[in-house]
Formats: sequence, C-alpha cells, structure tokens
Amino acid sequence: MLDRIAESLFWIGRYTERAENHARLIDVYYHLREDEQGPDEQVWRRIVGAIGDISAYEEKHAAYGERDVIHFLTLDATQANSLVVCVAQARDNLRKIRDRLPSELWNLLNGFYLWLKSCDTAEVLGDSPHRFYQRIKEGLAAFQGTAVSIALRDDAYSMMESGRHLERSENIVRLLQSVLRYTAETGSSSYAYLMAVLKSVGGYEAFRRLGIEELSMEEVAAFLLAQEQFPRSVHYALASFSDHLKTLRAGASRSGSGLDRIVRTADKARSELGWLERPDINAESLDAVLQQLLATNRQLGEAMAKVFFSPGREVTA
Amino acid sequence: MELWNAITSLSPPASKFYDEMFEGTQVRAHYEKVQAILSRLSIDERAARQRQMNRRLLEEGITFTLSQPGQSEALERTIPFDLVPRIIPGAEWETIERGVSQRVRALNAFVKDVYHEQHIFQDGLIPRRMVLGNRYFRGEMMRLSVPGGAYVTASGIDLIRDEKGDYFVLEDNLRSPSGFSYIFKGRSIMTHDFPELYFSHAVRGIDRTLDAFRSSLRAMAQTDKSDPVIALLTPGSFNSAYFEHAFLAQQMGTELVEGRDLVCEDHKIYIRSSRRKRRVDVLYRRIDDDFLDPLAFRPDSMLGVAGLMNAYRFGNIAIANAPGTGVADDKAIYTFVPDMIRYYLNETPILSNVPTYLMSRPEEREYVLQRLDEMVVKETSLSGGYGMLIGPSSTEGERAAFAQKIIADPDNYIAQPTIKLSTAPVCVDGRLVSRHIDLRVFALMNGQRVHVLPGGLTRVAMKEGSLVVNSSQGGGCKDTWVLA
Repeated sequence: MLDRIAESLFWIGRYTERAENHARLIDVYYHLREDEQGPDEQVWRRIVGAIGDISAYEEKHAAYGERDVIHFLTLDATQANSLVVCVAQARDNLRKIRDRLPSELWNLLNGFYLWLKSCDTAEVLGDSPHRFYQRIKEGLAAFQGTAVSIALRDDAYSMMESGRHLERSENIVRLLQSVLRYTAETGSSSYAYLMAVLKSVGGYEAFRRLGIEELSMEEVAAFLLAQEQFPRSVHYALASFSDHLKTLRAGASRSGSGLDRIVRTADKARSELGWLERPDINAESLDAVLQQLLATNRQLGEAMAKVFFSPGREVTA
Repeated sequence: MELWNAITSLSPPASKFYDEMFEGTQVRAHYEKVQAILSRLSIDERAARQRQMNRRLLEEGITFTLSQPGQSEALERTIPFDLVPRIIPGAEWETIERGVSQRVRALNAFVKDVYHEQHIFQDGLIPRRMVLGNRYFRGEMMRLSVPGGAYVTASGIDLIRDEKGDYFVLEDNLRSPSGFSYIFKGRSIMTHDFPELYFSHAVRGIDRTLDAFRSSLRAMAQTDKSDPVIALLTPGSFNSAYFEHAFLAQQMGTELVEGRDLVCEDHKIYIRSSRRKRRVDVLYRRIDDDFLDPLAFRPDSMLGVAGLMNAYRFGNIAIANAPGTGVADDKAIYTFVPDMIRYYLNETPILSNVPTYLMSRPEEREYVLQRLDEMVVKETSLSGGYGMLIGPSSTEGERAAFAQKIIADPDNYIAQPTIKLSTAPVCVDGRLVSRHIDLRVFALMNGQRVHVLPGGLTRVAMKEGSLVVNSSQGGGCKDTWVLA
C-alpha cells in the first residue's frame, strides 16, 4: 500500500471514531445538566474541558453559555477538534483515496458531511439537541456498519480499523482522566455523573449485566479499562488494534521490525490491563495508570506514522 | 413551450432549430412516452424530482472543481443534471456508431502514419508543416512502435445536429476526453430516481463499456503475466476531473496513482509501497503529454514520472492514450478527417464535418473576416470552450480584436459558420424550456476493433440561447438513451 493511502485510511478510522465519541459525550453531558450543582456557567465550562480545549474556547468567547459551547464543540468549522471538523477531515481523507473503499462509504460520509455542515446551532438548540446527536451517531454508525458489511478485508480495511481502535483507546483514557479531574474538583463523584459516563460509551447496561453492585468511580474505571468483552474498553480497543496490525503483517513480504515493535507495544499494554486486579485500581493509582496508557497510545500513533506513512511528514493528532 | 407548461397537452411552437422532441407541433414518436409521463406530473412535482436528482449528485460528490481568478478556494460544483432524457432511435444510432468507429479508425491510422512513414504528407493530402509545427507533435514518438498499434485507446467525438436534424462532427477529442463518469452516474440516477420513466423504455445498457474499456487497456500490456497491473495516472484530488478518475479506477478495478506514487527503476515503472512495490504494465494517464515525464517534456512537471518515456521506449510499459495523439485532434487537422477516411480506409465518410475555414488559406481568411459576425472562430489547439469568438453574440470591439489576432497568427485559427445546435426540452424549476445540446460519443479501441458506448454524454447549454455546452462554462448534461 502507498504511504499516502495508508495515512489517509488510518485517519479516516481515527476521525470517524473521534466524531462518534464527541457526539456521545456531548449528548450525555448536555442532558446531565439538571442534576448538576452550582451555576450554569460552571457546568458549561466543565463540558468544554471534557471534550475540547478550554483556552481555545476562552480565546473566542467571553463567557460560558449553552449556545456558544454547543457551537464550539459541534459546528464551529474553525475549531480544530469540533465535530464538524472531525467529519470534514475524515471526508477529505476519503475523498483523496475514495477508490480504495466501496463507493457506498463515500456516498454515506459525503452526504453526512453535507448535512452536518448545513446545520445551524440555533436550530439544533431550538429543535432537539438529543435527536440531533442521535442522528450524528446514526450517520457514523451507518458508515461503520456498511464498512463491516461490504468492505473487502484487505490492507485498506485493516489500516482504517487500526486507526479507529487506537483512537478509541485514547478517547476512553481521556474520558477517564476527565472523570478523575471531576472527582478531584468536587470531592466525590455523583451517581448521576458516573451513570452518564457509562451511558456516553453505551456501557451502562453491560456494566449492570456483569453484576457489578457498586456504581463507584473505581468500578467504572476498572470496567472501561479492562473489561475485555466490552467493545469500548481500552483492553478491547488495544486488542483489536493489535489484531488489525497482525493482519497487515501477515500480508507483508518483507518482515518489518517496526511493525513488530508496534504489535509488541500494544500487546504489552493490553496484557498489563488484563493482569490488573480490581484492588489495583483506586483513586490514587488510577492517575498513574492513565498517564502510562496515554503515553503508550501516543507512542503507538508515532510508530504508525514512522512505519507506514511518508517519512518526515509531521503527524498531527 | 410556455403553453405546453400551462396546458400540458399542447406542444410548443416550432423554431428555427431542430428540436429533439418536437416536429412542429407534433411530439416525435420515440418521445411520446416520455412526453406523456412528464405531462402527468405537475410543475411542483417535476421541480421536486429535479432537486432530488441534483441533491444526489452533490451527496455522491459527483463534482468538478472550478478555480476562478480572484478566488482563494476552488469551488466544488456539480454539473446540472436534467431529468428529461435525450432519446436516440436505434436506427439513427446505428449510423452514429458506424460513423464514429470509422472516424476513430482513420484518426488512429493517421497518428500512426505521422509517427512512422508519413505517407499522407508525401501524397500531398496534408501539408507537412501543419503537423510537424503543431504544439502537440511529439518528436519522441517517431518510429516508436505502440502496443497493438492503438494510439487513441479512448476518444470522445462531439456531434451536433443542424436544422434538418443531420448529424455533424464538431470536434474530435483524442488526448484524454472527460465525461465517462457522468454518463454512468446519470444513468444510475435515472434508474433510481425516475424508474417509471426509465423502465417504460427498452434502453440499451452501458455497463459493458466498462468491461470493454478494461479489456482495451489490458490488451496493451506487453507481458505474459496473467494479471497485468493497470494504473490510472491522475494529477491528484485537486484536479477538476478527479471524480472521474476515481470513478473509472474503482469501476474498472485499476490502481489510481499520482506521479509521486510511481518510481522508475531500470527502465521499468513501479508503484511505490512501504511493503512490496508492483510493476505497472499499462498506464492510463489523465494528464497531458507535457507533464508526463519531466526528463522528456516539461522539466518543472510535478505530476509525471521521471523516466517514464524511456521505460515506454523500452517497451516496458504501455501508455494510453499514446503521447502525441494531440496532432490529430487539432482543430485545423480536423478539416482533413474526411480525406483521411478515404485515404486510409478507402471508405466513404459516414459522418460529415461542419464546414470549416482554415485561416491559413488567404481566400478563406478573407471570406471569414468579411463576415465575422456570422462565424464561430476557434483557436486550433484550445478546447473546453476557451479562446473562442461567437460572432452573432459578440460586440464590434471583440470582433475587431479577434480579427487582429487572426491576421497576426492565421495558422492558429479556424472558423465555422455559426452552428445550429439542436434543441431539447430541459426542466428548469419544473417548467420545460428549450436549450441547445450536443452529444459526446465515446469510443474505445482494442487493437483495431472499436467499441462505441451506446449513447454518450448529451451536454446542455443551460443558459437560454447559449451555444456553449462545456461544463467549465456552466453546461449541464442529460442521460442519453439508445432505444433497443
């Protein structure tokens, strides 16, 4: 596979995954407000902190308010990590290599992008923000579902999926970091807040089904880090990432030591998660665990760029 | 046609142009069903369908990019697609098909002759200087033998109809004609978004053309490999026709590559890869000769591959279309195509040329300069509707300026009497109005056989009264049906 094609595929996976995580988070945080203590302003600030960049927000807006925050996180085309920009980036990457994936995928993503671009913050808020984010999740699910359903299982598919799972792993780690911050700020984590975190990754019901009695920060973190059956856990994401790279390695003619190293790093992080005992995860140790996972994720991203993408090209996350 | 819109059983008034759908006040027999179905729809319903079709074009990214001076970002535009199909009866098509096939065979023979024995100059049919001095003549191609003798693998022949409905060839496009993708997408839109119209007719399918295209390219491979590597060379995703390149690569299952993806080693061309590189056997290039190889042509080209022409000379790669085919689609050479058909094929031309005056001939130049307001003047080597003077719609100042240009460089210009393009109904905001159209017919050469895509691309001048159908100038298109 050509460097530039590998790179585009990887970023299609990453950006569509990132967009989905954003939509899930904003949706849940948005509807958590009623339960929050303190002035409205603080709530909006916390939402920006969890998803976006506080300093970038404050450069643009003087105060925290519903309209500005939702616009900043979702539809602000000038904001590096807003939802619409993630979708635009995925779409631009697909546009450059659209012959590599089924044209149905291009049609879906392009149509979705055009719809999202035409949305207006005031209209979204006036209508139903929940339905709006629901539609975003559905649009992205249609993209992913169609890929699962019809895409050839070749290098292109493995490359896109490896990007998706690396992004997922990183997003979950960041989500847990924001939970940790929140708990530190407020002194405790409310029941509603933890439930919202679980719901944002669609994991509340799975959590319950596994018979975990106590809805505590530690239990939620253990679940999102190490639950190997749950597809939005770090463990699962790293395992899938590694599987896709092994598929890529199997098709390679020359043995790549760089590629081997990526697989080893991912497998090491995953098996460490597998060895974690529930008592190992507590408010004190969690920060260190998350820091280390974040470093591993970053290392994996950089190694992917070095092994597969154009040498010397700067990689932006 | 206003009346026809108001009371849909009535027909529009006759005009001085040939109308595809109406003969006087009568609907032509092959359009009766279309007319009946369209007139059952209200204006609003037609407008809604039209919007739906255009939305789909946008959603599928069937766009071309247009960069205009003074604009920082290139615009992504869709080509307006019209819901009223253009219909060609089977017998009429049969003549077009034979005529186009004949023309392409003669043009291919001409290119081959130019780059080999040059009999046609020796026999005095065409002045040698007109060809050798042409900006598309490639000395590098002299005496180079081309796989299967196929120079013009893919070509597009533009046809128009005069006021009597007779077909004429307006232009030959032998370098890298664009428009295949619009035909296939247009057909797909018709079958999905207006099925009751499409399926009420027996329309000849076009899908086999993609097979024929692939076979033509495959047949050029100079290798025993069972699966030769075919690659489509595009200038990249910023090119105006990128959609078409991606579409063709995907539909034919060829690699889509940019110049920077290719590398020349040992006079062979490979696709770079982080893993194993693959040797390219056939290159279907969608970039101009000038940019193909910085070592052979323009040294500043970033789009091509250094060493490509050497690999070609060594017979290690086939290129479609062959470099240098531009000598045959020059607008001055065009005048000689009927002679070529008689000379190389010993056949009578089936399709006629539009009468054309060469400005290099003093008596013809005099004749034209006296009646510039009735003429269309074109630069011989430009296409896409650029560098033209359309006499009847020009100002006196424009004509004077153009006359100066002609006198200064007569070799560079030809003139044709203002052509009467036929008209066809077009749906604008649900109302049916009359617009000028032409037809680009696509032909694919495989060895000496020619496959002609049934139908082709009907281009529409969307502006009222306009004769310019090029997409770069705001033209639209229609699905084109050949009745089985």
